[in-house]
Amino acid sequence: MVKTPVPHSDESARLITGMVRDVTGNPVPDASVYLTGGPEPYPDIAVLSAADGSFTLSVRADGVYTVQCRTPDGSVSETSVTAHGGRPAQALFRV
Amino acid sequence: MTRDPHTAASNQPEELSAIAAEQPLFRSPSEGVAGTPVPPGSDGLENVEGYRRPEYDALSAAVWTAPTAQLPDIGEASFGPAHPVAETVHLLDDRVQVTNTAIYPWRVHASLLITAADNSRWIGTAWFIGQHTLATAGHVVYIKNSGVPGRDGWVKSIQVMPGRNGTALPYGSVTSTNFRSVLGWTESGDENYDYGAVVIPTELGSTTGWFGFGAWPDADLLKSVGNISGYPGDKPSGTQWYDGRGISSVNPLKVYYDIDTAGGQSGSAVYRMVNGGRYGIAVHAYGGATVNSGTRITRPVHDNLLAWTA
Repeated sequence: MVKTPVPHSDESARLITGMVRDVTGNPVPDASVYLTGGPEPYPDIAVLSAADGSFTLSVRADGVYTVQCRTPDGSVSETSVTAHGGRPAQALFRV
Repeated sequence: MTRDPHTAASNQPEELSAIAAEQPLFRSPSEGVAGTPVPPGSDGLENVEGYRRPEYDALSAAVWTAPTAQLPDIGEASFGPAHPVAETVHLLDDRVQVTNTAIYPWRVHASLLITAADNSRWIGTAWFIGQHTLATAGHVVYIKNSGVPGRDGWVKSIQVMPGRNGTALPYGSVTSTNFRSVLGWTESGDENYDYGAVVIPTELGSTTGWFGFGAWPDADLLKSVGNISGYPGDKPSGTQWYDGRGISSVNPLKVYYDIDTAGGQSGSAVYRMVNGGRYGIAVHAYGGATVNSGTRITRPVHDNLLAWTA
């Protein structure tokens, strides 16, 4: 078995960054954020928003992605973003 | 890396020859200790209260014949071609919640809380394949090509919660920092090799039991019903959800199915019933346009998973 070294990040990834906030503008931590649609298959994993409500997802292809968010109290919100090389796409959830 | 001089050579892709030439190769399941296991349904699906197999999925090939003509959607007549969209839940959501998660087989599935190298946190699913080993997706244990500084590589830790039901942890929680995957994923980031394992520091699998897993020829898989149970992020936190459908298609390295899933179910077992036992045939990994997909358990995958149970 080979012990693999820690690699560098691949610049070809497209980033989808965002924030989860409640209706008063306060950050919502521990919301699950995941893709529900995109131009090609994507990993079926979900990221949890950080203490400041932020999150970052990575995709491999340009295109329109549907991003969904579910907060710990059960609120669900969805948005579409266009990912492309260069600046990260922004997904802002107000739940 | 020095190659073993005894490695067999062939002009066929290893997985093709492995499937075409071999008899089924599998490891048997264990139902663990305590509790009365839920017997499988008679049609290859699980008995889950409230679950009903869609009628179209139950039709035999002799009855259900899909049209073969390649016709555009009628919407294109007015609006032009649509942008293709891949979705993990297709049409109606057939998933049902499993609440008796403390008994076999449901306790085999574990909710995962993953802490990546950059301290970002993720949710996923894994399933026991031995006393101290759970199978999962490669991208659950090793993040590849994220584009985020400090995120790539082996994750820092994974909290494993077998049979979790919301806030209830009938088998507690154990944290692992011991992971496995293969170079096809960790070095190449090849989705065809997206599988791995979590090794825990206890023998909890002896209590929960585990699923078998195996490599079967295409014909066997294509007549099988696939089952998936896992921990999706679009449902109340830590709840387990199940769905089952006939296998849609296979290729030498992947299995495709129209079984509803959502983000957080990466790593779930895609399993079939064989003589009353539950056997993983793939590791769920990706959402797709009309079908989802998992890494097929072929002979090399079987051999690695088996080695990781030691």
